Amino acid sequence: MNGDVILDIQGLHTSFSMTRGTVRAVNDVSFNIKSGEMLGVVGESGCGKSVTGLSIMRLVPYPGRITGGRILFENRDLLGLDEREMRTIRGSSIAMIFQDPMTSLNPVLTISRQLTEAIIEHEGCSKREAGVRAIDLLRTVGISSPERRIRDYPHQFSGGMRQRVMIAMAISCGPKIIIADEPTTALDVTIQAQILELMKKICEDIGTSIMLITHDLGIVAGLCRVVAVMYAGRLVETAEGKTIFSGPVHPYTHGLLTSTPRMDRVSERLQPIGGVPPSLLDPPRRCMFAPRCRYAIERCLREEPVLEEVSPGHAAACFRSGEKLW
Amino acid sequence: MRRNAEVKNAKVKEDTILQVNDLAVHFEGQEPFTPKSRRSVVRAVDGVSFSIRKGEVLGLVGESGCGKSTVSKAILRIIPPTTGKVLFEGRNLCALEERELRPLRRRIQMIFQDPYASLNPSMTVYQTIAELLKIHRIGERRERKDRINEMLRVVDLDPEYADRYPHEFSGGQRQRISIARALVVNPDFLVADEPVSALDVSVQAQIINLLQDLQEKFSLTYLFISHDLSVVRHISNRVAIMYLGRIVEIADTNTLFEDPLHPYSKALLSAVPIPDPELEKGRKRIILSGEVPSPYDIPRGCRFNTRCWKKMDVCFEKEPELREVKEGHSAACHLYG
Repeated sequence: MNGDVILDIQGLHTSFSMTRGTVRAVNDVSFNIKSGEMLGVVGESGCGKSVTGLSIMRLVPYPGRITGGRILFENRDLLGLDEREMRTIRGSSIAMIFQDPMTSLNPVLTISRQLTEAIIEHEGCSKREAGVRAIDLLRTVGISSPERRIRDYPHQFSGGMRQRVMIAMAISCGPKIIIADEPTTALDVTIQAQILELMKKICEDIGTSIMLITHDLGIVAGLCRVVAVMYAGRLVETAEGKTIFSGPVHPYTHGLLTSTPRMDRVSERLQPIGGVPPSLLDPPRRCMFAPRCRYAIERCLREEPVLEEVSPGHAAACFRSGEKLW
Repeated sequence: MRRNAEVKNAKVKEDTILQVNDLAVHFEGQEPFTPKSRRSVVRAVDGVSFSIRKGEVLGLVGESGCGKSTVSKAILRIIPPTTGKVLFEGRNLCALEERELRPLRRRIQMIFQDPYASLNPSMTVYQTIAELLKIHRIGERRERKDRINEMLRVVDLDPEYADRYPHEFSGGQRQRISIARALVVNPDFLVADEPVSALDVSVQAQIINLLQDLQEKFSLTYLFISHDLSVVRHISNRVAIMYLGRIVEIADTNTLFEDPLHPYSKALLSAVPIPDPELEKGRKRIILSGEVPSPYDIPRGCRFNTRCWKKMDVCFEKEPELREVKEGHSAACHLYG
């Protein structure tokens, strides 16, 4: 079963209609996740990585709308389901973890209420059974004396502990996929290490696929077998982790790596990417990275590159991906 | 008596620009969700000593709540220190009158983390920068204008933007404005509190490079505060690591990153992800159990003893002093004497 494609996203478009025009937050994005695999989706703020995650859950907020593409989960197109069918999948087969655990937990309900809600809803078991399972889940995610803590409210937990509760909630119905959107960004680095260790364990022991959305290349390097890099609503490069880090072919990926300071070595001068990310409001048909790209040629301003394979398992959306640029 | 190697070292050094001696900042407060009657004291900074040499970048790192920002604010007397001394070129800033402090405040400037909150939204870029020149009574109108335009060019902003308001700029550009404001009065010392933490990595690199260039160009000294160890390693000559209100280790950057002594430093460094899958595969992480204790209730003995994996009996009895273990490398841990 391991290694089968479990989620296949084809040509996903998600847009937000504004009075001034249309913001194309996700623009023709395709990738897949295999079972038991951890996929890293990286990019800077506004690149569309979170909206991609929300699109899979069909939770894109108004005025956003999925305007095209297919999201095949176990060979069923999620975009063709009605809301009732979608609810049986959401939280049960596909779960989500957000960046800020305080705003994703209800402050006036006990952890017990919030944790058992999904179990009762999706598994149809009694309150008592759900309670027992909830305590087990808290133990799994490393919360000590879970019998007592389960009666606490979210404010009684620290940031790291809340994120553990969120993970317990996410795995409560044995999902096939967990979408984790910046799960450790709000946490300190020593707590981040604890949470990442836990997520790795869940992926390896339970075999859950994880789509890890993050801006931190370091996190992806340590955890993800496959990495997808997004820029301005598009997927610009995807490959196995070791390929992305040792031999990126898209100038944006290369630029990200040369602008990241590293803790493990004496530093050289950073090579930043000039300029700022473009507006996604009615974007022109050209390479979105071209204005900031030092390797841009005239064609990049006229045409839009599509994601093409440069070697098996390695694809990039750049006209010059075949050349040795650096 | 609290006296450590760091302080002694600094005394013999002629070129020390700033020296912090046994600084403490305590806040009267009430721990959340406890009875009103139980008032307690937060020891945010609890006996911190270090010195900075002229032209140096000292990185001050630690996790949230360790007191690093409070140290920076106490240096500028934005928050009055409870005890301790801050000596700027030998003069104790804590003992000066506000009137005497002002000329020194010109020489010590600050930039903050959030470029959205640290610029007044109802003032143009020009007004924001000119305010500082007015306060310090520098130059006539015309001179001021030239000086501001020059400063904007220095931070790579077009002087044509001088009449725009902060909301018209991106995060990176706003941080450039903050830097221009700090440098317009020609300071010697810059306190930078998480100056790049709110920025995306591609823009962050631009600002880091700018800060490095300006340091060289104007022979500045930086106190660079950050939670990001990769950034700190990149920019600092020397690094101090704080935990729960105290410095646990201080050394030259490369020494500290290659050969950390304190168990907390070791764990902290091992927890930082490195963007290199091959390297990550072989790395051993020291996963600390538990969390940082509340600053309302600092553990007895060594304040790291609740999470330390090398703790000994003595760690519960006596608080370790920051002591020089090797030359220029101090740690506060009973493992080292």
